[in-house]
Amino acid sequence: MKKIFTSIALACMGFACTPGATPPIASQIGESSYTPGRVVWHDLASPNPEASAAFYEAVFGWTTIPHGEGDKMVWVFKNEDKPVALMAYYQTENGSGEWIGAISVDDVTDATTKAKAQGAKIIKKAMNVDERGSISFIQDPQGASISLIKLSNGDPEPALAEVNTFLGQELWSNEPTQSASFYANVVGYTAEETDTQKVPYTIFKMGDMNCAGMLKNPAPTVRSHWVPYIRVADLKETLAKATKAGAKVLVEPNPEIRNGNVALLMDPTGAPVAIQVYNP
Amino acid sequence: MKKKLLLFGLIVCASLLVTACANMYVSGGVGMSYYGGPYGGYGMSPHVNVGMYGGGMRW
Repeated sequence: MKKIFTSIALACMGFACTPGATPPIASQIGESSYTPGRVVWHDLASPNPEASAAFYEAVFGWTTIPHGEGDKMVWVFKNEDKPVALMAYYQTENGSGEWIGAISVDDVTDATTKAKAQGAKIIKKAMNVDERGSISFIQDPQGASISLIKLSNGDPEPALAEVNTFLGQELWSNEPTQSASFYANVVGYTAEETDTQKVPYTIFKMGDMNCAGMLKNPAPTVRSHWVPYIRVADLKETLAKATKAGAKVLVEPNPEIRNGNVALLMDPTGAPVAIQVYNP
Repeated sequence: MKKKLLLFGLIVCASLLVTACANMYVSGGVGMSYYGGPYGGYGMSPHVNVGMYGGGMRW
């Protein structure tokens, strides 16, 4: 009887010590070196993972790989067998989803502490996540959601985004001056103002590297937020797929708008995402 | 025997508790309190001023 009790107890402890089903992300995207300031990962907070998965599979040809069980289940989006993003379920208060980019930083705890000191709301403090690295989730002082990350195997190598992967992130800020100051203090960005555009536009840089863009929020009644851009091969074709899959088009392609290369969508959960043809 | 049963029960309870903690950080975001996206639900139709948007470059 003693042996049976001992065996069951050991089995229970063994089960307890088994880590959760963590998707292998860092080892598949990391390149051993780091490029602080770049947006190196993307998480989709979705109130309806099934609808989100169907949408991104139909529009961008991604595959969706589930990991874990029950309320801790997460899904990895893959483009041609390479992870491009992770989706998790959130029972959000307003019923909508959002893409949350992850900015590479040298020290997540330090950057998160700076963010808090600068007025950010800490949604999830710095923590170590198996197969990913150190990560925190914050809302900047203007309300834009972003995460800070140090991937355990290094950042993806800087390169032109492949078609159907993330091209970049753009901050639509209600207070661009304050946002520039915040990200300078927390991430270390220098803000380069461009004066050749019809409207003021800021490029967030780390040294010579362009990391993200920022403009005055063109959706004035909406809180500040980051807009992810996904590179596509054909704008009209992708737009047709997106609307068929349930997207709402917020900005139609137009020759007067960024040379007609861009469209802005709301996915079926209300998450904003831009699609762009980009062939430098 | 009673003590052993009690000890066994404690071990099982402890293991369940540790399990709950061990799986907390699977995704990094699971479990965080989150209000939701900037535009609200799908039924919302936020207005985007294309003049303000279209004039900006892509970095």
